[in-house]
Amino acid sequence: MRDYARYLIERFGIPEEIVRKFKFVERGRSVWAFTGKIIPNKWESLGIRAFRIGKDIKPTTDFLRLIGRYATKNVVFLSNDEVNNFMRGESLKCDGELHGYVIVRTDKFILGCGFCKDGKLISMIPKRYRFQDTWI
Amino acid sequence: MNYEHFERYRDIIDDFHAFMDCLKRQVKYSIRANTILAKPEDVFSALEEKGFVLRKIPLHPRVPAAVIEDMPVKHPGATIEHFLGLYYVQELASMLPPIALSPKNGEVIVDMCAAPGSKTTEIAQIIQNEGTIIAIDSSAPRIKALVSNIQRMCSSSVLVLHRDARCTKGLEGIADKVLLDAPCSSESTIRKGVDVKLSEDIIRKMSALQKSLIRAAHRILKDSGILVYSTCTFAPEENEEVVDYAINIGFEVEKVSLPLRYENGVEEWNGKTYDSSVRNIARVYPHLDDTGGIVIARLRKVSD
Repeated sequence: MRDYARYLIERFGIPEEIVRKFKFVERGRSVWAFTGKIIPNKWESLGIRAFRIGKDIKPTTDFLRLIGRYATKNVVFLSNDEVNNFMRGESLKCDGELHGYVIVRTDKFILGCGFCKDGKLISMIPKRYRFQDTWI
Repeated sequence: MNYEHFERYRDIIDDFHAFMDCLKRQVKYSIRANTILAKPEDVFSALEEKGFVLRKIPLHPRVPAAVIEDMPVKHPGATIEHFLGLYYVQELASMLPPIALSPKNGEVIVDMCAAPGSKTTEIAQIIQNEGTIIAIDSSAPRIKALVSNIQRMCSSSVLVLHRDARCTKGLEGIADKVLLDAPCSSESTIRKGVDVKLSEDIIRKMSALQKSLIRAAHRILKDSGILVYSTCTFAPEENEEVVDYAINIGFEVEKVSLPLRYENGVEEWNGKTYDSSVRNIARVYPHLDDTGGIVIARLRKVSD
């Protein structure tokens, strides 16, 4: 099994004592992060779905919202004006030095996962969390 | 709406007139800020900046609640903050059973009828995800909603099982605490504008189901473990009678400590007399603090 704890420490600078609270369990194309005691049973969900395994390993928006406040690397701060656009799934400009998955946040709240490539921040917010016209 | 049904409680509610008046008024929305993800003051001020008018209710240090007096949207969940998991739309009375359970860090807690997850995620918030919560539900569509809410609220300490909670295979004797917010005749949902079907027959059927769930809770609990049993209905058949049954199979009733007002459980109903300790049951009537209704009992397992 991949070392998901090491990935979080190296990619985002999450302190080890935070990461080690989680047990990472692979099932199919998902990796679940659980902070409790695993009781042997056929479970529907085990904590938070933390990564999706595909062509690469993608951290989920839900998991980044949980641990993102501890991150010290690969973090993008948005202004209030940019938040709605990002939450609609639109791309924004970003620092050209950033590449790969990033944690996107405001000064107070973590928004979720983005992907930086060639100076562009691509929103990885899942469709179910994307900004609707009826929201504020 | 079948308000005549509630005449059956005229003799057991102190201010019955105020109770009936209150039932006919829609209950206000309330929310619980998610302390796993943010400071409550940041959540509340973010909503207030968008035009929400909130009346803060400090129910518990880790359950910061607010009643929505006014809002600029049709539904209180129509905000980015809701989808970021920063708060949960949950009626105030519904926040009481996890508080009565008093879950502690490191415990194994079973939520027997968990979907859609308001109380499950509230327990996770009280213990700050330091412990194990096993959330069970039997309904496939409701399990979907439960898993979705757990993800949104970042309740990383919750394991979800899709099964009938009366099936306790693999769970015997594992729980320090159990929450059984039981299926019931849901009388108090009338305040949400729900045209709930109310009848003596439904009450009787629910009482039988609740007793079988109590037996399962007894099997799941460790010795001296705590069960909080709650319903959103006022029928003594579904509350005091079920607790009286619980006493006979090996529970004792403890006093409940709640941050909202309540009346005591009733010792007699319809020709039946219950164990006197049912007086420790808390009947949270809607008119006492302008909330929904809930009846809560805190029980300790005393024998196998």
